[in-house]
Amino acid sequence: MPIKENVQFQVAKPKIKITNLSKSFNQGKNTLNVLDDINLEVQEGEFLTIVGSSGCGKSTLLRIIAGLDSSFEGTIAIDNQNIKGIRADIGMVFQDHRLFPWMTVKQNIAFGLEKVPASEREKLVNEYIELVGLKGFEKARPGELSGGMSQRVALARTLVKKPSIILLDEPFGALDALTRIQMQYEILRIREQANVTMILVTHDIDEAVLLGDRVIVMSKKPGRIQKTISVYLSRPRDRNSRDFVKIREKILNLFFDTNVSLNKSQEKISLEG
Amino acid sequence: MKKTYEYYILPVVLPLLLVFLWIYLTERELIAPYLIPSPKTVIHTIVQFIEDGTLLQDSWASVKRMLQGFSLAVFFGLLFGVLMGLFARVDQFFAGILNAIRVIPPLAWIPIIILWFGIGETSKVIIIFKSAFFPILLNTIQGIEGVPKGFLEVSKLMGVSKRRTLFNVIFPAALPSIFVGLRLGLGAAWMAVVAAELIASDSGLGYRITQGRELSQPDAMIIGMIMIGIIGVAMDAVIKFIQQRILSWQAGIKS
Repeated sequence: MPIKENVQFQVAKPKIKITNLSKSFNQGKNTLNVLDDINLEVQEGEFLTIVGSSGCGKSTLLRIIAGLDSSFEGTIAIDNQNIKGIRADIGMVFQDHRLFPWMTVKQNIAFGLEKVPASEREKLVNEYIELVGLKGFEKARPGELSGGMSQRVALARTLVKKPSIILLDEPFGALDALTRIQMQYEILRIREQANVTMILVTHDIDEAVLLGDRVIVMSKKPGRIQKTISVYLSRPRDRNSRDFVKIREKILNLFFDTNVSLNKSQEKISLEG
Repeated sequence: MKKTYEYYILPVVLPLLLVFLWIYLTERELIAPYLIPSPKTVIHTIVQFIEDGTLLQDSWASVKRMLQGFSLAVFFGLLFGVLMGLFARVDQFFAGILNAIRVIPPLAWIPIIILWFGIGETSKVIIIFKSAFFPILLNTIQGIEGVPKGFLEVSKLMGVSKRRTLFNVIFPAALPSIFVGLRLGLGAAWMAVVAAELIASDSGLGYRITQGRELSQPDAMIIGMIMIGIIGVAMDAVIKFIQQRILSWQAGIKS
């Protein structure tokens, strides 16, 4: 059976453990629950993907784990230690690559290596430029790069610091379909070379199933974990295999269900109004 | 063919017509020479001013004043701009009083500054400083406050030092806005020079123009105005050149 649900990993130890995490915004008189009671364990070396429609709080969840957002309830533990704030061993890649336009590719990648001695820095940067396939573009500036290349630089900038956790916030969302597919394989290739725990947030179900060891489906208003689906497909995965399609369909149905119930509640509101 | 016409011929038609009109009116003596001097007279006076050094002396006197006031404005404008842009408390402390000073125009300051500092160089430099300071200050603050949040988040996530964040992220990101301030400040400083010299001075291009009026030398007035225009445009070109060099990474400037 290719699909199992809510399987607990017995052997691996949890790298990230999120307990009773909630977050809400105040919008005038109303309180908007962005995240509601999220409980989640991510194993060391696992590739976790989170799918959800826009507004389900998936990016907020990632920002909280990264330490960029500290107004929340609940706890986040990394390596069994409760954390608050930014940690040096967590890297993050955003949908907008956020490269500094005044720096060259090389300077951008070296940006975080402030405390590394110059000779070693040089070596490291070159190594990662090669890893992401940008040799020859060292002196180019972000303005001269395509979207896919820029995202590779952003990836290298994060990887070069050798974080033990990498958070990817819809990193390929702004890329065209072909470049996106290419980058998805790229990230798998890179992952094989570096033993990191990765969490990728996306609204692309295909991407989530292709990359993830587990896929978490989130619902919105309030943002909750609707379902966790383990993807027991061997890699490299074939997007068109029967099992792949089955999982995709299953996730799609989850979305469809939520949407139906949402529509109903909206109908009700409009009738009452 | 149509392009040549539109881009090269059309724009010069009106200026040429005006020059011909100028020559025609003055040659036929349709207008009194004390109102509009003939082109011949103007050229003659220019040559004379160049030969006796008046032109150079006047221009240098004005440019020197402007540079003194402008450099002070650059220094304090950037200093206060950076501090007020970075620290909310500094901003809160100074914003009120600086705004009040800003909205009172330079012309309204001139009498009291003359009362305090006399009609010497100090007064003029202060007026020039005041005029150039605020465009630089406001644009520096705006540039620093406007640094994209995403860049600051990357800095935080990368765990780099405050120093590196300031010099490698915040300043470069604020530079385009700072340069807008410098250009506006330079323009304002140059206008203030002339205003200050028109009111009280014994040298400079503004003085030459006032002198021209008092001595009924319209040619001297016109030459003074032309020089102000030429120097103003030249200085703006210099700063624009520096800007393009430093901000070569900005899209649109490069190619």
